[in-house]
This record gives sequence, structure tokens and C-alpha cells, in this order.
Amino acid sequence: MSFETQLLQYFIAGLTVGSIYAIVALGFAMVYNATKVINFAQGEFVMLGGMVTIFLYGNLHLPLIPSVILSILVVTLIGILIERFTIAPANVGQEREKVVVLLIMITIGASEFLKGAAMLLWGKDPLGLPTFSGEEPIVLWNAYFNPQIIWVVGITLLVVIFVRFFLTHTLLGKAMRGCSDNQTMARLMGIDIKLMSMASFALSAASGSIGGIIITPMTLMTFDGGLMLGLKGFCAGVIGGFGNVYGAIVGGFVLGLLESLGAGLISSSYKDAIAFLCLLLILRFKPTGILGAKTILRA
Amino acid sequence: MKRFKYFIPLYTVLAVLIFFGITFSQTPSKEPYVIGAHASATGPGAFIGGPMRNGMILGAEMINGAGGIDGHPIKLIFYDDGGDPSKAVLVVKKLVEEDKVIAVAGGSRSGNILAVAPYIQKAETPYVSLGAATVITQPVKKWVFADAHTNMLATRKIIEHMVKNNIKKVGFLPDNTAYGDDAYKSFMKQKPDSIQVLVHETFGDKDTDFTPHLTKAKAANVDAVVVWTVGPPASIIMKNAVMLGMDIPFYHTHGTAQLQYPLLAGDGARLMRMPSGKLPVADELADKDPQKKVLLDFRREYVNRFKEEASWLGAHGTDAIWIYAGAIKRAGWPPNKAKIRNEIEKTRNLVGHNGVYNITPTDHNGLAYESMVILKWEKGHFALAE
Repeated sequence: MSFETQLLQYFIAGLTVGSIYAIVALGFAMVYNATKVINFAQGEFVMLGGMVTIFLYGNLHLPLIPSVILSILVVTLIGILIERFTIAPANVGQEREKVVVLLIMITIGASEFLKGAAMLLWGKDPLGLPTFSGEEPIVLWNAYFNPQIIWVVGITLLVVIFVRFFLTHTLLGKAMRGCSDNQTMARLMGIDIKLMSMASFALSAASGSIGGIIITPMTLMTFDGGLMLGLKGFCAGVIGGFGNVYGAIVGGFVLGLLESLGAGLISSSYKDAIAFLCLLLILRFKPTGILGAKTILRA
Repeated sequence: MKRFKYFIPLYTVLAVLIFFGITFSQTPSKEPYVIGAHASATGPGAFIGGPMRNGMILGAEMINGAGGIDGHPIKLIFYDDGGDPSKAVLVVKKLVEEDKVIAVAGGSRSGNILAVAPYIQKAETPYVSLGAATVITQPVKKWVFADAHTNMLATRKIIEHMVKNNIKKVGFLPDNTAYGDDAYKSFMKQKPDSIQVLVHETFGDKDTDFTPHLTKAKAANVDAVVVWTVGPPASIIMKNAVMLGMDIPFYHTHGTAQLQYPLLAGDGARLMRMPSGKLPVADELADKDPQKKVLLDFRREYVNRFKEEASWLGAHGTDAIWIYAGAIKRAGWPPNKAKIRNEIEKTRNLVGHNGVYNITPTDHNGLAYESMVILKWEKGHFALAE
């Protein structure tokens, strides 16, 4: 296998895993912008997307497409419930700055709760889904890749385009951006802050669940799979510029590529170390991330 | 009703009678031997830890059902260590210091066992562990035993199979735990010069993509790959391998000789080769093999009790209890930790599920590599690999 082929192989692997980090980072960005809360249960939304689909498809034997759609709705609902029962009550009548740390800790608690519930419901074994378009690898210039990768990258890009459209062309989206820019002003303009908070969780749960569904056919899903995904997605978000939608995408792909190329070209033992080293370098030299974290969208 | 003045005394007598009736009706009726147990029933090694827990429970129940050890039942106290070494040490401490057990069985992950070993040496409590890392029993530690085929035995079996199949160039992919590293060292120590390890890459036991590692192996044109991990990566690697168009044998740890791994590996399962105890192919054994009856009995009892496929890894747990039962019986009542330990070293020709045990002061494992076979996955079940 020539060096160029190897490089291509690593590149494709990096894009794949980068897409998932991007989706998770996107979820972090959306919630952070509307509520200034870092939702550490984001990884669990990805996990639940995969697990619920496995349950509907594998146990209840629904066909794949209804399972996927129903699963997204279920996880969105779970996201809304998490927001309603944990964040919203803590938010009432308090200055935002004082409660943010408390809210972040609450999300960690929510993440543990979801993990525990998943373990009780689905056990500790990894579970899988069939790939969406068969098991034959696609060969490109002697590099082999899983057709599922096209789904992963493609759907990630679709999600990103949709979110951008939502934030720039819909009333709710624009209201969310207003809320993130200046919450007091938004309130004066008649924007319902509580609704923004709920909507951001709903959106990030939906996109997170989509991420889980598209990678499960390749990586299987375990009840605690959300932990690493959430962590890496968070790093991806920081690398790209926390809270910035485009930054999430850039950060995700950068992290994914660094991991794969590091594993392939340097040593797989240091894969995680390389990725976190880059995170440290970014924080040291450009703490606002590659694209800067100032606004949710430079529209 | 009017106050019945014999109400309280009557009911007291009744309660006392019922209480003694229940106590005496239980067999066996003497004081129990309290044995502690731990395994990673959750966490990345849960595929194995769960069945090992079941195996230990079944082992105790089988002995109690036959009257216990000279009439004394075994009371098994089990804690889950979640796959985490520090938690393993904590639960073992609890077993020894709070539950006052006379011996500890278990530890389903080598990393956890090695973490517990220093403590158990200090606590001078016998520890029959279920882990396969060679370093658990070599060099010999006074109180630590292991009833699993060591990585040394398993890799030796793999090397034998490789030589038989003319495999010369190998890629070695261990996970980054003590277990993986121990296997790599065992392999390197025993391999003939005809086998060269061209690629050596480690991975994390929670990783989800292995195309970089496999790409390197593919680029080096190896004849076979050795993967050493228990947990989801063992299956994901096979899926990745098929996606990369690889068509060479993948040797795994004996820990993957369990249904979930080939089932989750999808099409990649046909490439898997794993060393294993004889349970998965018990039906194919010769009738004069002393293990055949023991294995078939175990399979039947396990399925009845736990309503899931009998796992030979679960049988490690049962063997540990049997080793203890033999030693405790020879040591006699009242239980004495040092006596029990001495008797474990006198275990001879114990026909267990992993093999026939002959434990000595210099061999705290007691198994021979001939008690293993190499399996492949064919048409939905395990079969002997030629």
C-alpha cells in the first residue's frame, strides 16, 4: 500500500470521526449560546440516539426509517424534559452569572442519570445497527472505506446547513441569536428567555441523537459511549471556538484529523495525547479558538 | 374481640417454632464458610465479568446443593468493581475487613487483579483470581493464584497454530492495559525466529475506530494479525478489517471466545481465531476426555440457572470455587486462611472446566497449554479451527 493511499485512509478516518465531534460540538454551541450553560449531558444525547434506535429497530422490529425518526423525537423530548426539570427550576429569579456553575453541575448530574438509566434499560453490552447501505467497502484510489462514512459526513453537513438556515431565516432562530448576544435586550424586545432555553436543548438533543444514529452502525454503542464523545466534542468546540456554529464544525474536523493522522503517522498509543496537546496549544495561544467564540454566527 | 390474655405468649411460641423450623429445615445446617468475590460485571470488561460472576454463584450453589463442604454451606459475598482497578482494591478491602471473608475469588480483569495483589498479600488472605496475565502468577506470589489460562499459555497455543499454518509476518495490536502488554511480552518471549512482528500498535479500550492501526498492518503485508483486548474493540476491529478488504486470520485473546464478540463483528467474525478452553466444542470432544462430562454438566446447569448461553469464561468462576472447596475441605473446620492456602498448593488432578488443575508451590496456575483449543466462527457457532 503506497504512502499516498495510507494517507488517504487516515484522512477518511479523520473525517468520519471528526463529523461526530462536530455534531457534538454543535450541540454544545447551541445550548451555550442560548443559556450560557455548558451542557455536559450532550454526549448522552448522542448515546441515546443510538440506543433508542437500536431498541425500536432491534427489539420492537420497526423498520429502520420510522425507528430513526421516532428516536430523534424521543431524544428531543428527553432533552426538553432535562431542561424543564433541571435547568429551568434552577434558573428562576436568579442572576445568570451566579447560577451558571450550578447549572453546569446539574448537567453533569443529568448525564450520570441518563447513563445509569441506559445501563438499566439496555445492559452493559455494546449494541449495533446495520449499516445504511450495505457491508461492501467502497474503494477509492486503493483506499477502502465504509459506505456508512458517506452517510456520516453527508448528514453532518446537512445538519450544519439546517442549523445555519434555522438561525438566520427563522424567527425562533433569530430570537435565539438575539438571546445569546444580549439577554437583557432580548427580554426587552419580548423574547421569551425560557422558551429559548428549552428550544436550544431541543435542538441540541435532536442533532446529538442524529449523530448517534449515524455512527452506531460503525462503532456500536454502549451505555457509557456518551462520555468520550461528549469530552472529545467539547474539546472540538474549544478548538474551533466555543459557541460558534462554524467553529464547532472546524474544531470537530480538526480534532478528528489530528487524531487519525497522529495515530497513523506517529503512533496510535499517543493518539489521545496528540489531540489534547493541540487543545492545550490552542488554549495557550488562541483561547477563543480557531474561529473565535465571540458570536454564535457571523451572519 | 375481647382481649385474649394468652395472645402474646401464644404468638411468641408460634414465632419461635416457625423460626427454628426454618433454620433447621435448611440444608446444610452448619455455619457457613464465607467467601468473598468480585468481578467487573459493568464497564468495558462486562462481557466477561458478568458470566464470571454467574460462574462463581453457580459454583457455590452447586456445592451447597450437594450438601456443602462437610455440611458447611458456602456463603458467597459478591461486589462489582466496575472494571476499575482502584474500585477493585476498595471492594476487596471491604470483603476482607468488613465482611471478614476467609478467601477471595475473582477479579475478572488482569489490571484489577494486579492492583489487588499487593493488598491481599498484606492481608494474608488466599486469592484465586480469574485473570490471564502471566505476571499474576509469575513470579509466584504467596497468596495469589489464577485459574485462567495465562497469556503465556494462550499465546503459545496461537504460535503453534501459526506455525502449522505457515504464518511468518504478524501485526500485533494489544490494548493499552496491563493485559495487552503482558500478552505482547509473552508472545515475543515464545515466538520462533520464523515469525516476525512487523507492526506493533496499541489502542485504548474505549476507542471506536481502528482504521489507522489496520492500515499500517495492511501496508506491511502481514499474514495474520493478533488483537489483544476484551471489550467492544475486539468486534469493531473485525468490522474495520472487513471494510478495509482484509482477508487474513485475526488471532484474539481467549477472552473473546464468547458469543457476543463474533456476533457483533458481523461479517468480520469469519476471520477470528481464538484460543479457548474446551467448553464451546464440548460435544466434539472424545468420550474418554475427563473434561467432557464436567463441561456438559456445567453447560446444562448454567443455562438452567441464568437462561443465557453457557460461557466458558463464566466457568473460570466455577473453577475458582471448586479449587477453594477442595482446599477448604482438606483444611477442615474452623477455617484458617494459612491452612487453606497450603491446601490450594496441594490441588492435584482437579478436573475443572478450564482444564485439569495441578497447583504446586511453584505453579499457582496449574493448567497446561494442551487444555486449550483454537476456535473459529462458522455458520453462527464456534468450531475447531484447523
